[in-house]
Amino acid sequence: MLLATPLAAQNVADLAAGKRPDNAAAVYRARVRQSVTSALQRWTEAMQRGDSAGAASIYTDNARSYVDDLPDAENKSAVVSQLFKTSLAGAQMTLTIEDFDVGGEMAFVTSLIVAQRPGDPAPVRLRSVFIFRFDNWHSVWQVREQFFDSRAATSPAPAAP
Amino acid sequence: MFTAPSRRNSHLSHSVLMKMRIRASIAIFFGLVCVTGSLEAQGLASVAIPKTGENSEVAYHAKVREAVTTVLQTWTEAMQRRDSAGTAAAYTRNARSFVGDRPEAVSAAAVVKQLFATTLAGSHLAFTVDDFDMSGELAFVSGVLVAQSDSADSAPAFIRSVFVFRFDDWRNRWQVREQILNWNGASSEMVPAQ
Repeated sequence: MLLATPLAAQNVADLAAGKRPDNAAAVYRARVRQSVTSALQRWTEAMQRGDSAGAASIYTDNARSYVDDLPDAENKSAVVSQLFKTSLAGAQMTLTIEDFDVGGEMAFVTSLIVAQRPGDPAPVRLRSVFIFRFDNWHSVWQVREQFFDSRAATSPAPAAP
Repeated sequence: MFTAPSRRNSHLSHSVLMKMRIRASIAIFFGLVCVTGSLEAQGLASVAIPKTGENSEVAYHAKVREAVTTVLQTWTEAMQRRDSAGTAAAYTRNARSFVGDRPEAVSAAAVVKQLFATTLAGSHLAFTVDDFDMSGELAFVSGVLVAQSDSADSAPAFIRSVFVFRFDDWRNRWQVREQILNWNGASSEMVPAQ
């Protein structure tokens, strides 16, 4: 509890304080993971509702997005425009996090997205990488870069060694 | 009410004050020596010690960009030579890789095996950086990998790629922690950006 309070107040500063370096790093990592998971949860809900403003809120102004063979998107509004051209818009999505790491004010999440649109015969599977950056001013984690690849989601992952 | 101290008291208080100042100076000096030493050992000193404010951060940003670009350059050369050890050196032990529809690889050895199962191994490779950012011990690079195989009649493949790097404190180097290559095993033209 003694560690939790300053962590909650300072976000990144706890690592610099280094009262209990191992614990502080683990707590910070868990907090960041929770934050980016919440952001992705809000994003899937916004995409399902067709809420472009809600979807846009998780991106940095200079966000970039690569989705299969679609033209690259190189800012927030272009990212949303690109996403709403895919089968993700209006689809019920499940996002399973497979890998996560954080360093300083940057984090990444690798996930498998399964999206099913009403009326579509089969769900779409996408391998995705989201790279997050912490916005100090607004104190939020936002997506700085994302990469979706439907080909990479066709075969199952082998067991980790 | 303020009363002037006697001459003896004034001398004593001045002496005590001087001793305190000397002690404080010694403590600050040793503190700075310890902090600088440990930070330099970690290779992150330019960010932790803002020598010239924002410039040091910009300089560090440029240094990291150069370091990860060098790693990618070494990686392309190793791939071209089919040098598995050289290729593996670019990856963390827990690296993950997604290359087209190939099975996911979840260790440095598995990544090399995955890459060497494609025609990228032995091809002439060139990587163009489109985007870069970093913070702390993470950095990423996105760009286009151009692969040209030895056969004269084949067209080059343009592969959209993202590499996430992690700094290895112990060995003082940047390595690929995660990569995703939008590779379909066939030549294709890139679609221009919006």
